[in-house]
Amino acid sequence: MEIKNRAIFLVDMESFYASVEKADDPTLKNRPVIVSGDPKERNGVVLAACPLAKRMGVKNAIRLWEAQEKCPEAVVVRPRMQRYIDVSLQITEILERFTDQVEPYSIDEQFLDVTGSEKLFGPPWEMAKKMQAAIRKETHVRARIGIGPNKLLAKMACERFSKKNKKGIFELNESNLECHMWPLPVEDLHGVGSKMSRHLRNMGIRTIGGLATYPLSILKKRWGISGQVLWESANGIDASPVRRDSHDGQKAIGHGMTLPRNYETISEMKVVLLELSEEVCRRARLNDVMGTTVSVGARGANRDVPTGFHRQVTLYHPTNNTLDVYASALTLFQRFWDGSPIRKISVGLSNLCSDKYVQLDLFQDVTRKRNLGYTTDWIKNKFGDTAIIYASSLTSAAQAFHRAAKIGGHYK
Amino acid sequence: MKEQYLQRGNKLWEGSRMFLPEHKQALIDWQKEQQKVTKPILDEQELDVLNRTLHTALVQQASLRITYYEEGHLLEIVGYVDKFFESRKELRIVDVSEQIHHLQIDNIIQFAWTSLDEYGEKGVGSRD
Repeated sequence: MEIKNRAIFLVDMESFYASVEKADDPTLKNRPVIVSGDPKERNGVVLAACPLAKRMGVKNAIRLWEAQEKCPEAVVVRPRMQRYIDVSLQITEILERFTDQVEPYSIDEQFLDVTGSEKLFGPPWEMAKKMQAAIRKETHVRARIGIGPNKLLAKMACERFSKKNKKGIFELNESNLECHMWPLPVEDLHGVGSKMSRHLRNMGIRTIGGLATYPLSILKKRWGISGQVLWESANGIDASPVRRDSHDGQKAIGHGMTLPRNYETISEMKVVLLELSEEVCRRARLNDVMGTTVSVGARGANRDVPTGFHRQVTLYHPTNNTLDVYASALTLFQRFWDGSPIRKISVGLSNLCSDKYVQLDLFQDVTRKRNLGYTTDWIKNKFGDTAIIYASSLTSAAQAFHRAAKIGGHYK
Repeated sequence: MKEQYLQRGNKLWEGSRMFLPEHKQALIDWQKEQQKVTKPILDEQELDVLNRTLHTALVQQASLRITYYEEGHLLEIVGYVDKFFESRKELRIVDVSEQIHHLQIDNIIQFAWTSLDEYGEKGVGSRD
């Protein structure tokens, strides 16, 4: 693949959740809007704020009361996650009119490879304007577009320039990289976290240009491949393809939940572990896969003294049976839990393979267990997520009913 | 001298992205949906051929490769037509592994002659 001749876009939606809310409710027009979780349920942080609210100093991820202090006249709305997923998919469909190479990167960002679409839609800049117009017209969301010869530069162009200029479009390429990207502080580079930027600063590297011109051999010696990745990023090099099938080859399925209060007894843990196992296995069955490795994670309640663990175990046979996964998850949990209160808990299934072929077992009826799983799924798909549940999900520790009504911890 | 740059596939981006499981599932479903085909419409002649082949196959209990349409996909069965229920417009087909299938005649797209020998005596499961 010739790196130079590719045309890659990163399309980013401005204040996505807030924009969707404003589009759906005309009375919110010209008023500052904040999308936030419920403070009563311990998730009262700002998920999105429209440009009007941002101008008053409201930022993402700050506490709701803090945001309301800064912008008392703001309209606060609860998130509607299903709606955002639907609109995100609608935007994917719009983008697929320009190229079949569309790779969603998050709910509000999508990568496109438009190499070869120029003949139909004009040069990249014109194409970008057409995309903005189509998205605006059909969803009322403002899109910002970064253009580059690869994903890294497209992302940097969008993140650092398109979001800040009027047009909402910027192009980074080999010729303007040194003049625009290199003067930026090193923590602005994609992939540089706060820890890494501290290390780099201690080495005297302050800007992206400083990292780009630093001897590669030293970076490699210190951080190995990650060192080279960062150096290549700083130099605007990235060979990653845009892959529309990027989501098929799922390597792991995991579900986690933040508990409504701290859980302290094993009987409470059992309830949520079973519920999570069921969610994970249901998703595995839906995608016709089984997994061989079960993992369990837990995080302690005390923020100042971080406790918790993440452990995994490999089974003898791949499975997508809820009770099998639950049994392994519980064994792991009991072995590594130190008894301190737990705030967050997760179950995962990895090492996935197709469920078309099953290893039969002399000592248990594999087919029967398998049919049971697929049958409960069928009932849930038809009559709703809580149509059939384990009786333990009726106890006070249970979360199944709450979770059935939520996506990402917020109401659908 | 040209430096050797890293070829890591899509790791840089797949490793850093954040997805709600529900969003991911919706994307997978959407892609599956796009792979679906519409049911082919057969013309008079094709229907005529279909009809005659079926007739012969029923009389001779001969082995067929049957292409049929189901929920957006074209599927195949290898086996013989055991019975035709005229009132229900339904075929009963026994495949090479002796499984029984019921197919609506309207969903049949093609019959092709085959011989069981090519699958060995026992045969292999044919339904995908």
